[in-house]
This record gives sequence, C-alpha cells and structure tokens, in this order.
Amino acid sequence: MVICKFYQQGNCKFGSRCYNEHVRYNENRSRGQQRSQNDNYGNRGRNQNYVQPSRFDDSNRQHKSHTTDNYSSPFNRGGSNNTNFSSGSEKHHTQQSIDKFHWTSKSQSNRFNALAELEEPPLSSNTVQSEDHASMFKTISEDMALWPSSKMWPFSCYSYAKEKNCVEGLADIQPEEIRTLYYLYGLERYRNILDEVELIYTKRKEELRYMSEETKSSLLLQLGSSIESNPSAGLSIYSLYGPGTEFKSSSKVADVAAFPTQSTVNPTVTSTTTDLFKPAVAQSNPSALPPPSSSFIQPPPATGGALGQMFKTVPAAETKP
Amino acid sequence: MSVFGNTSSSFSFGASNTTTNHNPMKDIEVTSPPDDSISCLEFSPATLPGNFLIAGSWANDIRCWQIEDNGQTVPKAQQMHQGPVLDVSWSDDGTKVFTASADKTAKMWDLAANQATQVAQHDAPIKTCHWIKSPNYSCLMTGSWDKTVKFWDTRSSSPMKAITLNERVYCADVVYPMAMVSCADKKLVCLKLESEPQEYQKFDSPLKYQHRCISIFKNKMQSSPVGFALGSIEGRVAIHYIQPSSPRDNFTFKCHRSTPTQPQEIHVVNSIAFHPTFGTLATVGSDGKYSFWDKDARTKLKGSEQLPQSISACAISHNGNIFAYASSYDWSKGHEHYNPQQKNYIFLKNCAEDMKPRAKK
Repeated sequence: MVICKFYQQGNCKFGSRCYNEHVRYNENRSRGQQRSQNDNYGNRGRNQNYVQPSRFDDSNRQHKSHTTDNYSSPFNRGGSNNTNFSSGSEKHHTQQSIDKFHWTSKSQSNRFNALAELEEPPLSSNTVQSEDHASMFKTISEDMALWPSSKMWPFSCYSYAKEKNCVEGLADIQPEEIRTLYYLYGLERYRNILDEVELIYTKRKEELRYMSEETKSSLLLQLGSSIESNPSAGLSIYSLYGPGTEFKSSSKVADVAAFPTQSTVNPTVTSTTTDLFKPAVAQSNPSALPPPSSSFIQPPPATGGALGQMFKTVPAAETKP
Repeated sequence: MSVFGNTSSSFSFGASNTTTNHNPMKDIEVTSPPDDSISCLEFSPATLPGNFLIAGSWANDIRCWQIEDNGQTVPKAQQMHQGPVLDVSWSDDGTKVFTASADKTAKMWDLAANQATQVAQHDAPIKTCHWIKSPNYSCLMTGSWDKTVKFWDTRSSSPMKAITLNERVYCADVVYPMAMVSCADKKLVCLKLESEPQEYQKFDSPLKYQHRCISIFKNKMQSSPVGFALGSIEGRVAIHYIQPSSPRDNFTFKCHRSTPTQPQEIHVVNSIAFHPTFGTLATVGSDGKYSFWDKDARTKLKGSEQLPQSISACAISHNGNIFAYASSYDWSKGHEHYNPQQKNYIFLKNCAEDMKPRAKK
C-alpha cells in the first residue's frame, strides 16, 4: 500500500509499529506510476505510493527543474521522483545506494519485514491492504475513544493520519463561530443549536469508535477515493451568521463620539482617556451577556426554522470533487 | 469550579481581589484592558517610532496603547465596530490600523485623525485581515467565513480581487510575497503576491485536526518567507517548509497538553508568533500557558506557569523585545466556562533573552 518514505531513508521512528510498508525499494511500483504523476500539483491525494528520493541522491535532486513547468512546485514529489527512476543506469545506482544504506536499519523492520528481506515485490495487494486497513480502523477507533476524555474541542474535522482525507460526518466548526452565535442569539437559542450539534458529533464519533462493518465499508469507500473530502459541505451554519443577521444595534456608538481625538492639545486628554477606558460600571457591556429578551434578538433568518437542519445529510458519494 | 484546575491556590471564579494569581509570571499588566475576551493583538511596525499595541476584543472595541520603554502602558485611543472584532492589522507605514469584525465589515482606522471608515464588506463575519504592501500595489486582504478571500484597495468599495475557496477561512498570515490561508476541513492554500495576489499551491494538511492559527516564518537571514507554523485544536503545531531540502525538515510537535503521557488534557493552540530576528517562536494555548520554542534545534526554550484563564492571543514587538499575551477566555470549553464578569488582561514581558535560540553545540 503506502510505502514508508522514512524507512527508505533509514529513519522510520515507528519501526515495527509503522502502518506503512517498509520496503527498501519499489522498482516495480514506480514504473507503473510515472504516467500518473506528471502534473505539477501532484500532491492532492493521488500520491498514495510516491517515492521520496533518498537523501543520498543529491545529483538526482537537481534534475527537479527539468520536470516542472514555469515555477517549480515545491511539493512536486511526483515530478521529482520521475527523474530518479526514468533512466536505467541512474535507477540502478539509486537502488544500490538505497540498499546499501538500509543494511543498517534492519532493526526497523516491521510487519512487512518478510517482504523486504526477500527483496522481492510485495505479496498480493490484498493482504497488504487489509492489514493496512486494520491499522487505520484501529487508529480511528482509538482517537475517537480518547477525544472526549482529553477535553479537546469537540467540533473538529478529523483524519486518521496527516495528509489524508478527512473522515466524513465530522464537520469543522471553530470556537469563534459558536461564540458568534451566542452573541447574536442569546443563551436559549444558542443552547438549542448546540444541543443538536453535540448530538450529531457524539453519534458520529461513537460510530467511528465502535466500527461496525457498515462503518468500515463506508469509510473504505470514502477514503479510498481520491476525491478531496469536504465533511463540512453539509453544514449550513452560514445562514446563522450570514447576510441578514445583525448584532444588536450598539448603544456604544455614543462612546466614539464622546472620545477625545488624539490631536487635541488639551493637556488633560490623557486623564480623560484613562477614565473612558475604565470598565464602565453604569453602562455594562451589552454584548457580554445578551439578555434573553426578544428585543435584543434578531428575527431568525429565513432558513432559521430549520435550525436542526444545520447539518444536511450528505451521502458520502456526493462529496464534491 | 476552576476550569484550568490543578491550581493549588484557592482561586475562586469571579473574586478578582487576589492580585497574585492572575499574573503568575509577574509580567507587566497593560492598563485599561478590554471588557471582554481579546481576540487579537498586534504591535506597530518598525516604521513607527516607539511601540504601540492594538488589541481587538469581543466587546466590539479596538484599543490602542503606547508602550513606553520603562514598561508604562498609556491608553491612547479606541474605536468600535458593530460586532466583535476578530482581527487587526497595521499598515506598513504605521499610520492606519485595519480591523476585521463579526459584523461582516472591515474598517480602516486613521490614527492621526482618529477616524475609522469602512473599507471592506463580506457576507459573513470577517475572520482575518492583513495589509499587503507590494512594490506595485497595496491592499487589505480579508478572509471570511463566507469562503472567500478578498483584496481591497481602500479607496474603492468593491474588491480589486476575490478568491473563492472551498471552505470558511479560519486563519491566515502574510509575509510578502507569500500569503498562507487555512480554511475549515484542514484546507491549506498558499498565495503568491508579486504582481497580483493569486493562488499558488494547495497543501495537504500536516495535521489531523482542525487548524486554528498560522504564522509564516522566514529563513535564517530573515530575508524571505520559507515556511509556516500551523497550530491546531489538538495541542500540536506543525512546522512546514514550502520547499524542504529533505522531508525531515517538516515536523510536528505537541504542546499545551496537561501531562506528557496519557491520560492528558489536550488544549487548543490559539496563536503563534515568530520572533523577528531570532526565528524562534512563541505559542499560547487554552491551558493558560505560553511557551517559547526553537524550531531549528527542535527544543522548548521556556514554558510559563499556568494562568487562570486561557491565553487567547499573543504578539511580539517589531524590535523583538516585548512579548504581549492576552489572558481571556477563548470559548474552547463552550459557554459554560464563560464568565462575563471575569477580568481580561494583557501582559507584557521582555522576551529578548528568553527567546534567544539554543546555542548550537
């Protein structure tokens, strides 16, 4: 499946626990991939099996510019890899240097060790993939289990590893967005929204934690596709703070008028400034704790009747490309 | 009911007469802090003599202080928005301050005249604003939850350019000629700004969870931007070079976690600031602590004591001497832990020594 690039450089910190495949070279694989990795922006979910040139191949690295157009894309891992394996003689040299180096990292063999030692192409892809998937499910399940106890921000997207697609069903909401809703609508409505949102997240996290067969197959379907994930696509939070929504009209406008301009020569400007800055006792900050009275709450936006519809159900297959 | 609990002292929520607890590091307290959480802090650029600090807050105001060399903080002026202020940015010449608010507008505050005029409009709250100064143009870049990044010539009411992204903008940073924008669902886009702002490259996220803050860093000579630090809600920061010389250059490190091993509480990283000359970075989190790190030596330089509230924002002065951090609630634990009576603070600390990089052995 995914080849561990760090192992190829002799530096995989996970060692035998690594979820990626520890093979020393992947001659057979790269040949098949050159065609698909020719574009400059080859790092969007298509580089499942890219090969990072070994650090020792400095001469090869300089050929990077030949394969890129205009300005070199920094993450053209696909492109630069082509140079390493395109010419026969160079390839051989590359293999040797990689092999030679990896003798020292024998201790970092992992579950794929049997394959690497033989220095053969890996066994049937089925075996490799199912092991890889098992570890992926395990990671997801463990992360979901830890999430509530770690008191992490609950409304976040999630992917099982870096540079991977986000898992469907967990949209992204920032604390500031939630806070804006509180300041716009007051406690009662805010709590209604939050309760629904929390329910959706808790449900999805439990699904992912307990990993039914159904969950697994839909995950495989979604993560196996190269379509960029967008779990927040079904989130219609926009209507809650979008056009038509307004913060209560500010009586603070008066503050600005009363404020002395900086350019006045008046020597007492400084002291006046300090007074106005002091937390005003009489005029308490209206936005700090919006009272539940309806005069301060804007009429709900047109789609507000469907508050619970903040999450439209979006079938996984519809994730936009 | 203390959220950030394990403080041994009997700090009770709301009783602000104990002066020792809220400032465990004994740093300088800025006078007349805002009445609600501070969302952003920024120091004046080098073009302005002296040091001025701007803070935007959820009380809809933006406040300006002059920071004198002896540590005195003098309130200078303030402006208001119709909604909470989410980001601030100084112009390159230090005469204007741009402010972005949840009221869907961004304003330009002329400090000399103490006048603020609206210069930008979005369909949803504006989360980020950055002033871009390029040899052939200048503009304000605003990123909003309406999934667009717009570029405004402050003299016109329509944007000179708009880039539509897939998702809501969560954080951004600009160091000419590079701009980084991060959106929901861990989207990461790099823009190049030379002749006009345009999308340059999309990146796969080096993190597993929501992105929270981003800060661009420069090369050793501090001459041009080469990468960025990305903070997430998962107590982790990723250091990412745009063109790494080897894949090991890019790494992530854990921070703002309660204990080194499980079971641990994981806190959000609210802000990252790079030192202008040393290239070391400061991070602040909802655990109420700030930390200084050396990304090249990959070590932690210094950690602070725990403050009773989360630290919601931070900034470093242009000369690299002052580190400012705001102690106020960041909503990372929901509204239950929000106390409008709780005082908010901004502290200043001399960081010239503490942020020096680890000497190479």
